[in-house]
Amino acid sequence: MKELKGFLQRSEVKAKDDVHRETIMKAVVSLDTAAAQTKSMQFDDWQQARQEAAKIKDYALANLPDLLEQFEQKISARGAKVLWAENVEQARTYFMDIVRERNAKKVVKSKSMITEEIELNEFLEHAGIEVLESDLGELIVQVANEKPYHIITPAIHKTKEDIAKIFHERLGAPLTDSPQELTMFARAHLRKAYLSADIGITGANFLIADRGAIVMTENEGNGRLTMACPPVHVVFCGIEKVLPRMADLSLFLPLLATSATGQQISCYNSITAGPRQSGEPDGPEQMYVILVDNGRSDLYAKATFRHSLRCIRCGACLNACPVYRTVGGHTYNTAYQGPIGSVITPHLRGLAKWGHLSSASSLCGSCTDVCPVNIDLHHLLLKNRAEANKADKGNKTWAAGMKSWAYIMSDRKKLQRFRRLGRLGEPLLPILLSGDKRQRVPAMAKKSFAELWEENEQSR
Amino acid sequence: MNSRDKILQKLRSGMPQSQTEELPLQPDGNYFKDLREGAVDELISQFAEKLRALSGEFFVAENEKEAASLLLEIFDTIDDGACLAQPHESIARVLALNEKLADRFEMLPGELDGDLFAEYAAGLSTVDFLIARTGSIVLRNIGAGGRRLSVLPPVHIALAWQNQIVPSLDAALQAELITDSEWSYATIISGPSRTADIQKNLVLGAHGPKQLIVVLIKKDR
Ligand code: SF4
Repeated sequence: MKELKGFLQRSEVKAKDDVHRETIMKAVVSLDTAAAQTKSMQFDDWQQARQEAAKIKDYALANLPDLLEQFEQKISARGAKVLWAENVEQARTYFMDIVRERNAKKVVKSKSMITEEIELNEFLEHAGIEVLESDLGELIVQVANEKPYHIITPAIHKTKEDIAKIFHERLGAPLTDSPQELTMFARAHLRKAYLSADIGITGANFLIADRGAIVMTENEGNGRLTMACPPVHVVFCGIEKVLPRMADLSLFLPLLATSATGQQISCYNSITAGPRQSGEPDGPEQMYVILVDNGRSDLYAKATFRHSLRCIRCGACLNACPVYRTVGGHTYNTAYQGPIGSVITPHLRGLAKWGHLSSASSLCGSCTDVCPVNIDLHHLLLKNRAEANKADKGNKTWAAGMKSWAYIMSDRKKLQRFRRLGRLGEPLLPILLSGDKRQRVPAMAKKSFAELWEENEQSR
Repeated sequence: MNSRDKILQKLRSGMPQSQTEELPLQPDGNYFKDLREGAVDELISQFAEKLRALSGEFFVAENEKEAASLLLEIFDTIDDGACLAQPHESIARVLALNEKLADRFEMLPGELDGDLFAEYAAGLSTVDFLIARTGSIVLRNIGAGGRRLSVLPPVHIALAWQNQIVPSLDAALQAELITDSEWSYATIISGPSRTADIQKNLVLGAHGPKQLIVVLIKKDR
């Protein structure tokens, strides 16, 4: 109930905030337009491409345990260590063990959604470890002391004036709202961090089973620096991210870039298959891959919902969603916002607390239309609603209301009788609904369609 | 049971009963409209067009001698700091072709402190592949002087030969050089570093190189 209430309160505020609306709309429309252009520019047949991608992911899911073992075996052979975390605590503990072993004080981090999911930054700061976000968008939200607003562009809600102010006040940057100068300030600010950090953390967009490698997509180069400079490289990754073959990247990289940012392919796609090998000029001495389950295997066991694990986190469904566009990212209060967040969060973190997200949708289907791996998002939201209602036995009013509705709708005579009753009670309606100022009660028609029809028939 | 086995067992018990999923064939670039097969010149012109559209710079040299003088011109445009070159025999060969180049670069030593990179304005490396369809270059750390040379200095210069160009990414990823060699790091680079994190404004040179310059020699390596 607390989450539901919070969601409603925050939506109320954001929906009425014109500056917020303008900032978000500008950004998502520019992302949407770029994606649409690149789709038609580079893909012969986008529908066919995404069907093929869905098939490859379905194969990977159908063979998930085998492919994970193959990945582990191949990458371990090159000296990387694979650790399996069942839950948040275990994932954090593994990391703290590495921190202790290395006596690490400073950590540099590139963008990763799963570390948001396990709230690693907060945890490490409590433990007295300095964590520096190196992706520009992540740095902005970190310095602003906020959570990411969007899975692809974390600072999508900040204007350049906001960023100028935060950088000036908190990092001592010269006051300027030029995106060019702000970016160069961040570049200089982070340079030293890569070279002095004890550990570099990255996420992974894909795990490649046949090579035993992790793949990371980015545009800025902070991820490359994070994997090249510090003596230890730690990767956090969800267990569902597997692709069977390295060659599958030739479809998935353009697919992801197109949907995420409207690029043909992202600027840097790095394939990392281990720590520095003997004879290699540089690279980390140690590499760890922490594979995180945290509810995914439960979701995996549910046949209806399993295919939501195809998600490649491109963010297109957020951009397309009228609810996300109106209420913004923080309103969800989850690591994954928008339609995909509303689909998976109740399964990963509990229906009782997060079931309400299933209703944060207009069911317009825009999310399903844009998804590059064909996830049937809006139908899954409906199925979530059904599950949430089944589970929510406490809501007697809702159940009774739905039962009466079914009774009335079962027979047109009943419906007509109810209508007549309704007209008698009409003056009462505004009073009954006065709790919600946004709802205006429309006047009922004097005569129903059926009544008009009858009259018309008789007068012929 | 340890957590690894627990997770795997949980997945195995939740796996779909009937394993009908078949693995689709290797991707072959057939989804793409802008895929060009054919003569090397056509691939080069597509590569040039795509790389320039990404704000990368592209030069063609008829032979290695011409490439050496092109490199001299390029070094002249880069402000302060020498160039750090990958100690690859093909790079050494090209650099030796113009004596004016001698004091303009240094060879990457076997051991180099991260801090020392700061003194260099550019990194010069070879590549493994050029991808015509997307204007990308593909590097493995063992073929390109490691992980840092192509990302730490503000300018990355890549020297390539014409037989390294392939129509699309799948050709590179399925080539023996990638599948059969042992390397710990490979990267597909498409243009200089960029960001659009501030209100969707495009800025080049976020954390990686601000400039990417590809010099293609119209000879086989
Ligand atoms: S559900 Fe589909 S559209 Fe949404 S983030 Fe995942 S892959 Fe992208």
